[in-house]
Amino acid sequence: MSARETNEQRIKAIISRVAGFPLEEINEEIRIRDDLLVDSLKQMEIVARIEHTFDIPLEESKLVCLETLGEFFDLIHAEIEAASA
Amino acid sequence: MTVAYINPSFTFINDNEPLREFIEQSPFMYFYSQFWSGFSNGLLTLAALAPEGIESVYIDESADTIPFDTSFDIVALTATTQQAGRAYEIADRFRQNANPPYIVMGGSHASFIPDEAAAHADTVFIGEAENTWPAFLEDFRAGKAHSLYRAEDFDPVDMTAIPVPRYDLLNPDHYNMIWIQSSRGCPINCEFCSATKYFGRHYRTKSVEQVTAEIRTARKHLRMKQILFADDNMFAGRDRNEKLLAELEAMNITFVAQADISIGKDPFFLRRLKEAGCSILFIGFESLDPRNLGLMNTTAWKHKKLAKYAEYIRNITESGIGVYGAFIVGYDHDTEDTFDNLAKFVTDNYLSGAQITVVTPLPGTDLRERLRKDNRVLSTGWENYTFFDVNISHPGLERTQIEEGLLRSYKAIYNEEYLNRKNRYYHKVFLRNLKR
Repeated sequence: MSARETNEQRIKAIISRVAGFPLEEINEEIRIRDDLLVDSLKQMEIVARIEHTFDIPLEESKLVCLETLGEFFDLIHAEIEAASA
Repeated sequence: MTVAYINPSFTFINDNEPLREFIEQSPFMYFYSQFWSGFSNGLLTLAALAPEGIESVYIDESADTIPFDTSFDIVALTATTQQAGRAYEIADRFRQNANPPYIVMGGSHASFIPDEAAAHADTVFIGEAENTWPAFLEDFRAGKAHSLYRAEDFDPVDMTAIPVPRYDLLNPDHYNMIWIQSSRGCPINCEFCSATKYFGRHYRTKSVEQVTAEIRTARKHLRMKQILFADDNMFAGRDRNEKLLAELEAMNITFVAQADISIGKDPFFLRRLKEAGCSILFIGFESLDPRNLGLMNTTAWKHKKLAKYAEYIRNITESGIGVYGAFIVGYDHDTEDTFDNLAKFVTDNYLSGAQITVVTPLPGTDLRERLRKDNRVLSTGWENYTFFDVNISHPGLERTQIEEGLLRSYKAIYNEEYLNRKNRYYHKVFLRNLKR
């Protein structure tokens, strides 16, 4: 499993826990608001857990325009790569 | 034999267009609106109580078209007060059929004003129907159905014997929220609320096994949805809390529950609640004016808690659980300042949201009786009993002042500036809790 895949599993685990949805149902197509029903409170918990887990900062301005989990995964991967560069 | 269980459509806001426009169009009110959506758990429970051989159809008029020309044997309508007028229209329309179905009506409105419902139905149900409904079906099949079935004429409803509602009857595309009822009853008996009159003073709970079976069944049919517990005060029956929370935690769900503010005095319990998946507690604060709180409840239960509101809210939010506050405006001692004070309280205390509604003299409540004696109940139709429309005359505020004040409160709470401020607060809370 690549580092990206490992990270993606960890991100999915965080989303599953905070959103309360089965891990196996979480995929890139899912819409954050309309499918996951993640409100601003859950968004903040997901952000905090990801920052804590990967030791990266996440700018809120980059998050607000995201619609799907696929876009969210891409953003996290980019931040992780930027932090390790 | 086929029974059509029909939940009539309802008007979210009847006659307050600026507020309707704001709630429907503001991006900051998306989740608020979701909390007002849902299905009738009561009808799905009745369908589960029907014996084998009876086919059940669930029709939610908010999402489905009612097939008036279909030959149902029984049409079972439920209605809250604001749905009552539409329920009567539906009943009357079915009765125009060449071969009309047998019409029955129940729910809170018919329970408190059965004579009114009886003009549109062959049988009216008063009170909880878990015992009366199977008895009626048996009588109906034997051709000797009565015109009235009263819960009080039967044994008390045994909560532990209530079956899992027929979630399989729902169209999963129609609902974002799964409502689960795990307990009934409330001893506080606030004058504006009919819950105590309808469900009684004593807390009665379903077993933990029942609750988890309901959640599993609902999620099987409705998939990825937010779970909300409809109980008026879910954790008041402390006996089952530890077992219930352990089971909910094991299910990896998140949920919204209703509680009273005293839940905020116990940080240990709040941590357990958060671990179990509670994301938001919906709490009825009702008013910030002690005189109003005194009117609402003669035992002054909420009045006594007023001084602790801020401290208990902080305990809850710092455990990582959001608080949705319920407030009522238009109470006797409210003034123009009330609306701004409420919004300030919400934003100062980082509430996740607020449901601010206009005092509504619901049938069956002590409030209605008090205001009727003072000739303060306006001659509005039941469709105006939305909780956002004005149905009473106020000693110091005009109707337009209440409507405009309500809109002002919502705008002061649901906006980008407060969202960002609230997000920064919770971000800090979650990071701090993770580092502990």
